[in-house]
Amino acid sequence: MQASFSPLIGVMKFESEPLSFDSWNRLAWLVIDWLQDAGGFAMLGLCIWLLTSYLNPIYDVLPNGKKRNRLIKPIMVLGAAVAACIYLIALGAVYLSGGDNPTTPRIVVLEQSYTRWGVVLEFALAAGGLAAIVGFGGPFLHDCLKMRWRRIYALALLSFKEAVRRRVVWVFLAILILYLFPARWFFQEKPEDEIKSIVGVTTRGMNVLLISVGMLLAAFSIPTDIKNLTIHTIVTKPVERFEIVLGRFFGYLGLVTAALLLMTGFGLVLINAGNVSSEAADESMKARVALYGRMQFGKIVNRQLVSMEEFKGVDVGREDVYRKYIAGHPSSPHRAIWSFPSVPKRFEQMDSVPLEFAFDIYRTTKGEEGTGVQVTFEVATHAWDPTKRIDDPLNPGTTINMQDAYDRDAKGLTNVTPESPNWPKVNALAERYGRYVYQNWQIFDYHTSRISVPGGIFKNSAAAPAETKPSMPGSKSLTRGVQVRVKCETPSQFVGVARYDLYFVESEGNFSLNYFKGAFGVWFRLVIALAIAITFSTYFAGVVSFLIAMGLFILGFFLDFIREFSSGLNIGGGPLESLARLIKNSNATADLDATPTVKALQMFDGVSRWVWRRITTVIPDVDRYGLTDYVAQGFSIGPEFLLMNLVTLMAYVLPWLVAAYYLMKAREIAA
Amino acid sequence: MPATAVAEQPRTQHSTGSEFIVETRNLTKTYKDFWGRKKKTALNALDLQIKKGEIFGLLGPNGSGKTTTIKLLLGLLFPTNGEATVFGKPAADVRKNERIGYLPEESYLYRFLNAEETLDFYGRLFDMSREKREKRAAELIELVGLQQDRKRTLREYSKGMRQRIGLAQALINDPDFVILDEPTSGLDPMGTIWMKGLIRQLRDDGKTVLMCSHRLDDVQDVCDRIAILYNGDLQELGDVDKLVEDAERIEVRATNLRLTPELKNDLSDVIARHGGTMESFGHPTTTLEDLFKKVVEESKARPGRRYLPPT
Repeated sequence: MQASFSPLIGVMKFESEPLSFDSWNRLAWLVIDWLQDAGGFAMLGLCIWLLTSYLNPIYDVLPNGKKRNRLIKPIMVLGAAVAACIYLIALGAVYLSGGDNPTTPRIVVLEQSYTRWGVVLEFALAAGGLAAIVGFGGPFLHDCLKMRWRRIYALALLSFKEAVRRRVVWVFLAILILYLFPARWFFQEKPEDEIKSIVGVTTRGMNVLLISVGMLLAAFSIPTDIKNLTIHTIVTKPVERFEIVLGRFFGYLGLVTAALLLMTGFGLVLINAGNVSSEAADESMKARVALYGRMQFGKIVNRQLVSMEEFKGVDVGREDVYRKYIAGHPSSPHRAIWSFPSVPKRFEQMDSVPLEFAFDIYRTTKGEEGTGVQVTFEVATHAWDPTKRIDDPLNPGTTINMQDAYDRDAKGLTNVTPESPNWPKVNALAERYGRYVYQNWQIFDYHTSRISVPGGIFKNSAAAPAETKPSMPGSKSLTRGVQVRVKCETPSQFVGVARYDLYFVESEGNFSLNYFKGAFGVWFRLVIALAIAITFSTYFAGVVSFLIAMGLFILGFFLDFIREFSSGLNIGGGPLESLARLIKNSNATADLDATPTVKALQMFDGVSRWVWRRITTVIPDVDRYGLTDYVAQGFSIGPEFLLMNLVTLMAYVLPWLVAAYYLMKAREIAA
Repeated sequence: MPATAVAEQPRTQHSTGSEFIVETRNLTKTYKDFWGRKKKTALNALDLQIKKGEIFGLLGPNGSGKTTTIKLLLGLLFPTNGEATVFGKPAADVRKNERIGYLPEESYLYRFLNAEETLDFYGRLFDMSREKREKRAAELIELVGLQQDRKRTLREYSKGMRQRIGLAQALINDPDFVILDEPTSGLDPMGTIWMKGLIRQLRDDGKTVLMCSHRLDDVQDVCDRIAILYNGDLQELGDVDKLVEDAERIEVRATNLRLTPELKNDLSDVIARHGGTMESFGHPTTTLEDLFKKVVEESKARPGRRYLPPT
């Protein structure tokens, strides 16, 4: 059957799960991880500060004549002592957990499984980190209370004026080049991809321009002040050192934010007023609110769909392991299952609800040219049970299998679309049985398609009482909701699926508003860039600060690879082992001969991995804040998502600002 | 030239309070290298007290520790040993800066700002309200004679103008303690006279001034007490008058007399009778500054005045 599909609409590819407030367990572990990582650095900072303060004290003479080292506060000593004791407990847990093996009993805590000593270790590290954060952050918070926003504003205004009067803002006009020379002049692209390429290219241009300029300004501001001695006239006023840092930070942030707003507004005006093709407008000038479900794989056994914990889909050998595959055949038992425990209430009032999807195809045979691969969609609620016996409405007093009753009532109602006069019957059928099937829909590679699911499905889901035990395969605790089950019908072909490849379209948002929301991604990155650059500038010269900050920022784009490498999950080993493989011309997956040299190299690589694991906590996860794809692919950026990103941003930036506070406090301005 | 020239007052002993604004005890600053090894002792065990309401001069050749002392008092440097207090608070305490004004040696101001913006900026740093800032800025701009140039950026100012706006920012908060590092640097003779008059005015208003200068005549003119540093050590400390007094000699000045050999002989006899020796006999000299001031004032009073060579 030829498919009629809406033209290219993108699908979101999430390499890692986006954060949301729904997954409280995951959020809890994020907090614990943050306490461990930030706490570890806080403890390190605390130890260094206490040591240097004892070696180079600055004494205040108290009214009673006694002397007090003004660099050391009681809370710092207390925090360090408590943290040290707790870290000792963690060390003990490390030692005791050395005896753990796969048969050691495990406890599930916040949906994560650990041995007993593993739990102690995790929580001891977090508690020690918390004590260190309190000790290190206490004086910081105390001094923050002494700050005056008028002074910070004065310094911010100074920074802003300086950048404007030094004509730095002229650099931002370079963004116009991207608008003057559209990508389609240089690249072949389909008409429907026009908006995607405009959004992608201009957002990347804004990223490069704003971040590099912002970082330059931030990295050179305080060192230039110190070099020119202009800072002497500020520090000799009743200005806290950290106010200088914050003033510079907010000043430059204000400048680049204003530039970002102007650029975003200008871009939007050009898109709306420009000669955009109708295909592109239909394709991308949208802001779909997608409802994603949880995904698992299943198998049909004795007409029943059962989930198989051990079946995680087929690995067809592609390097990109983002998707797993189900085998195709009319009698294929493989299913990809999306579960939606809760759906918006308004779905019940809708005549049809769009279900969009974009799957990958792995062909083992060429197949028929111009023809796609056929898949069947079965949408079912928790009330659907094919083997359940129900009263037969046609034969009162008898019962019939739900499946048989459905098959009888669904005759002649196959693959009906909303435009058909039979659609109300399909809707009624769906509402009665809680099932809807669309057979042999044709999918193509890199194409997103859409079918309509009758609103009756959702009425059935809402009306039917919840099951007392999980009734829907593929979901451990799902006693109510809707499932979408996908089967590949074409023999010898495989269909690749991932969680975010299929979704209900909840509603359509406003593209212009979404475009501005997408600019938040750039803004989040700007905050990170400025915070890092300002922090380094409190200690290093301008050039060094800029280089380190830019280096860290760029490393952020490779964070996933660095994490993989530092965990030993990459192929080919560490840098020294890789060098050995290159010299020996050895395959990346083959084992090297266990010579003493190779063992030594692997040991050094192990050390470097440990170091990199520490470094990964410092490298910013800049990819997380890339919201361009949402806008380009036509997906709405939700406020909850933005809020969550803001929270994680603050969690990353705050330790940097605390570091800046201490570096600036310890600095002899006139030395 | 400032609009309101402050009249020069002869230096008299003013009664100073017994309260000390600044106290240092064993104040030491040693610079170390990266490995913690001693490189140079810039200031060595300085014990100093500056009384409230006096003008205190800090003298010494280059590298003697004058600027180091000032930086330690302002919290720009941290002492290696000893302590310093200003208004009873530790020198590193930022709160003491509420009552301090500081004029650095060079005018370290932001050159992209104009005079009004500069004073507005520093006024904000003192948490002053907008009305107070505007009023104070206007007063100071008039005091330092920069009304005509208040809208020009500091980049366009001459050295003397920058020095004056630097002084204005030092006084923006009406401080009780003013630290002036080379205040007359870059000023012409009339500007110097004006500055010295202003410094005296500050003292008369009850403020305490710490002045650091290479121009010894300026220090001698305005300071009540001085300290002389050399190589980081305090060499001399005391009242200016007492320190410069030459107890070995007597000076007599008289008017309504003509310089004649008879007068000289008579005076010589009187001095010899008392066991002394006449060293010099002649007309006393005024200072070059007084001469300059007199010439300028006469030129203002009599336009067209010109130098005529003696016939």
